[in-house]
Amino acid sequence: MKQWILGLLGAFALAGIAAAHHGWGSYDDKKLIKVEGPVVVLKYQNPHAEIVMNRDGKKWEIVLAPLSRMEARGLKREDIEVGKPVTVEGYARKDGTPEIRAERVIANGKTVELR
Amino acid sequence: MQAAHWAQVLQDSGFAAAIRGGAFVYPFVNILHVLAVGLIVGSIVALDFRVLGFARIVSVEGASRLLTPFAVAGLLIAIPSGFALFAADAVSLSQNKLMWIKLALIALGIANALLFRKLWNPHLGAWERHATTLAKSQALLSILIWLSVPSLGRLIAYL
Repeated sequence: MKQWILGLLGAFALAGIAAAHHGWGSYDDKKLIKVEGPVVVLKYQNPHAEIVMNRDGKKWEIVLAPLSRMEARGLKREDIEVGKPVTVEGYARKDGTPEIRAERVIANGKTVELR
Repeated sequence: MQAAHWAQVLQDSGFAAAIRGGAFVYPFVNILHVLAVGLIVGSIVALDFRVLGFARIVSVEGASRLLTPFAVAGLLIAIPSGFALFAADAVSLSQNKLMWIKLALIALGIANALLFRKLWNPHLGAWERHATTLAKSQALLSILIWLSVPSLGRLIAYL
């Protein structure tokens, strides 16, 4: 009985590990995309700050990083403002949703890594 | 999928804005939630193993007396902190399938625990004479549920 239970739980744990190995897995990190231009919408919020930018006539949602991480790496709240230009490098979602996860952001003359 | 009205209202509330607003509120609530989940899973799974017949040197009644308050305290912290984390990003989370599976499993886990109490509490004092297949099945189900709940919770961030 005990062996049987432990075996079942072991299998369960392995299944969990197999399913959980993604971090940035929803995004295509083979293709770095660069977006330049003014910030259209700014959501300065946790768990990730988000901005919207125009790219190829479409509005793209760009996922930045947790607020405390951006601040710790020198990107302050006032560095990103609606209407002010920024450059973002990141990866698009694999499923075709116009969403980019930013690897780095260049704003106010600063290049800040976000991963 | 269209955002449900209630999710939009919750996300637009001042409460939700306060949770996602500062740099430190969200991480703090997140830490509370994780600690509470640890409390729940640690205590419930330990008690379940005792019910299944592990570590007979400890009485089931003694294990229950020690562990149940931790599980209850964990739930009392995890539910409001979880609600706050949900509120901060309600529209997108309300569209996440794993979120709903997780909530259903929490309800099932709590129902299972309450039923266990109702059926077996009078017999905890002399457990080995009363340990039925049903009670042990409930303990095994409980282990599977409470390991699944935080696993799904963590996976929500990756779907």
